[in-house]
Amino acid sequence: MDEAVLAQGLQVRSIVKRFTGGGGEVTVVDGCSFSVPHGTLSVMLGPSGCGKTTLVNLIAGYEVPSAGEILLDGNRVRGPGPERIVVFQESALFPWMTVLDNVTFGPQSRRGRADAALRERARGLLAGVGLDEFAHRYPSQLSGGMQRRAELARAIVNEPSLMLLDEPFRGLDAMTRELMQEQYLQLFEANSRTTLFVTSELREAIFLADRLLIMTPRPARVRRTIDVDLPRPRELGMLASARFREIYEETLLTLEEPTWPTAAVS
Amino acid sequence: MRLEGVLTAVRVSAARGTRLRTKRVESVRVLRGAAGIMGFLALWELGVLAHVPILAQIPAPLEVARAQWQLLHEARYYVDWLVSLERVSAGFLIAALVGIPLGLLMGWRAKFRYLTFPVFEILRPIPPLAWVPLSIVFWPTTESSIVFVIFLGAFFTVVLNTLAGVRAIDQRYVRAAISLGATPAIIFRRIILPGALPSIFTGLTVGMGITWSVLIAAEIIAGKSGLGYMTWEAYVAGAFPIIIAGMFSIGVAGYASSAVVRLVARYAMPWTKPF
Amino acid sequence: MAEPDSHSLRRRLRSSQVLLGAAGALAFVAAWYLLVRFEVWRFAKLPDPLSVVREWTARRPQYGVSLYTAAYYQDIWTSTVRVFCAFALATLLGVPTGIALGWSRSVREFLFPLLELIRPIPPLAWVPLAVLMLANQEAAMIFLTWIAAFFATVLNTMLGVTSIDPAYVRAAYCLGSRPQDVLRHVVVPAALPYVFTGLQIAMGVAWFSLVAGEMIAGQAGLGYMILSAYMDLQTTTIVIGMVTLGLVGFLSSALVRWLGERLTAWQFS
Repeated sequence: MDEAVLAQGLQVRSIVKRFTGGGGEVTVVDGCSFSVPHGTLSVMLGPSGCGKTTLVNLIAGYEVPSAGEILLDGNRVRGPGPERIVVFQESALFPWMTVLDNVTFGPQSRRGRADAALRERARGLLAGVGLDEFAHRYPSQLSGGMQRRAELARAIVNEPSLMLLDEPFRGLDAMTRELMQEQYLQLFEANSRTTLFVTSELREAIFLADRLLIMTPRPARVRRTIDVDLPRPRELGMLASARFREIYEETLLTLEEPTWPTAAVS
Repeated sequence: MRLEGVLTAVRVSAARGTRLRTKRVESVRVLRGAAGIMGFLALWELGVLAHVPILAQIPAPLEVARAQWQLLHEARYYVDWLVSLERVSAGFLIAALVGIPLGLLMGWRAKFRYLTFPVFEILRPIPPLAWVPLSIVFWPTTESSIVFVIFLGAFFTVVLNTLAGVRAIDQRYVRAAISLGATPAIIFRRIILPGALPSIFTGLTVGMGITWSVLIAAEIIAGKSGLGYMTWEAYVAGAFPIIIAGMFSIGVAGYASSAVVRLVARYAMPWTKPF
Repeated sequence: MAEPDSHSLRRRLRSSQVLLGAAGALAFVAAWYLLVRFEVWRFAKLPDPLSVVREWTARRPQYGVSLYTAAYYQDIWTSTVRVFCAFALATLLGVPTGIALGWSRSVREFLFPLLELIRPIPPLAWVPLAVLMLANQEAAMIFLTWIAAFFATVLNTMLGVTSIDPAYVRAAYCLGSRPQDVLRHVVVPAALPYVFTGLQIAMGVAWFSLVAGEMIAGQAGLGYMILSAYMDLQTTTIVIGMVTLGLVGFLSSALVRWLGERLTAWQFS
């Protein structure tokens, strides 16, 4: 691969993040490096509380790393920007705007005006996630799953260079969750935005990912990278395939492997 | 999708069943409420007739009803209504026009809040009516001094509720807006302002209640017209049934103006409407 | 928008907050002084802050009221006693009424509409009726102060009881409690935070109505002090009265808040 291709996508280089508070200094991220190639989906998988959300906040630009650098398509990240959209685990749809106004909010904020073309595109995206009839409803009138889909549409409409999804399906019931994973995949496969998806759910991780980033417990670092070579487009049936089971077992083994020196103490 | 559709259908039909049941319960409730009010009126009437100590001094409900009926035929009664409504509207609108922007600014800009908040905290515990004498001394006309005191009554509540509303806006909305590329001006207009609206309207509703209370006292102390003055005049003249008719009128006026605020709130915040 | 993440930064912010607050208060007093001294518009009619402080702390005040005169403390005492009597009555009558309204649906259905009918009448509209009904001056003042405080207490207590999670009540019954035990060990403690919110509001409106009552129909107390100072055109004494009212009102609210925090400590642990 040549330089130009390498520079595309997300690159996280030796990031360190320390917080000062309470009784002293806490290192939450310690020398974390990985990359997400352009147009692919990487899933960050790790125990809860390991610092995944901190990493998302760093990449989104809400926080500043203590050391190291983050590059997106070759440009260094300095603060939040519309080319990196985050979808959080709690709904951040604006309750006082209709679903359509929520979706057009981003482009309209940057251009200053919502034209017919933008509304058309927003409606198209909403139709894509099955929310066509709900465009003029308020978020509180939607179910949890519908809210998640509206939020995905609101992110995609900005055509971001990077999508950051921080456990977006957490808290949904098992059936809705599975449905959401499938719909989300369709959306990703149709748009192929570079995506970093954070989850603590193993099946979800493998089902969605081109690449798994398995994290260590705090301080966070990438322990192992596993490429998922299941073909795209994917469907739920693949969860029963032999290849899926192989990857599943490999991942599980990595997750259960003791980490030094933490394991030695306990 | 299909599953969600079915769930919605189930929910709707369940709601319909509840609504039928609610209707029956509702009628029982109305009857009981009416019984409570009638019982109160009957006890009052009997108490007056039987010369029960405290009640003996006051007019009976039937007398009050007669006085109210007579008031309805007098032109002055309507003038008093109008005068009081004018004063309340003026004071209240000024309080809203000054208080809401001030509260928004205090919530939005930390430095401005630090600068102004202590002054508010010092002035707020002074009851609005304690301002009446100084207000009469300061303002050129009695009318303006009454409006000023009414303004003060609503002002602090409006400012503090607006401020609290801005402070209570979930940071994730602001973060989401920033990440979608919104400028500070857009965040203010489309996130902060609508996000604080529920609390702003709480402040306006409470402020409206205080406003009427202040008006009555201000009219008694400094006025020569209005519903509050009418009540006091009736006391001085010994026309006792009119006192209670006046209190009733003021109650109606206060209730109606709160209802107007609530109506505006529902219109301004369609997303809080139950569906 | 990001939260400051270091301790020292927070400390620096807090000290700048204190400085700015002091600057704001100072600017307020300075503006008041300058507006009065340079007789801007009608400000010449008001006393300036310096003469208020001078009068307030004078051993021989020009207008008869200062920190060194007995009359000042008599007025404070009269008003405070009235407020606390009314407040105690409002608590004693309001909390049980609120619990009954919240606990029993029939009580609520019979009495709540009546309550809602009377409540929109502003407390101060009761002034003439109170004076008429209760020949005793003191009783009329206390009644006026009581009525506003009573409604605030009743409504908040009722809200507290009706918003208790039914799961607690059900759990208590499952554990074999009798209704009176449920009332005592579940309903009352769970409603307590609301009760104290109600009592705090009650304390505020108590001072609010008392001042009006004393100004209109009183013969003693801080409200009366302000009004008689107005009659004699002693604006300095008016301001002393206002500031005193603010202080006493603030202290009584602080007292209620402190009591509330101590009695509902389980909320904050």
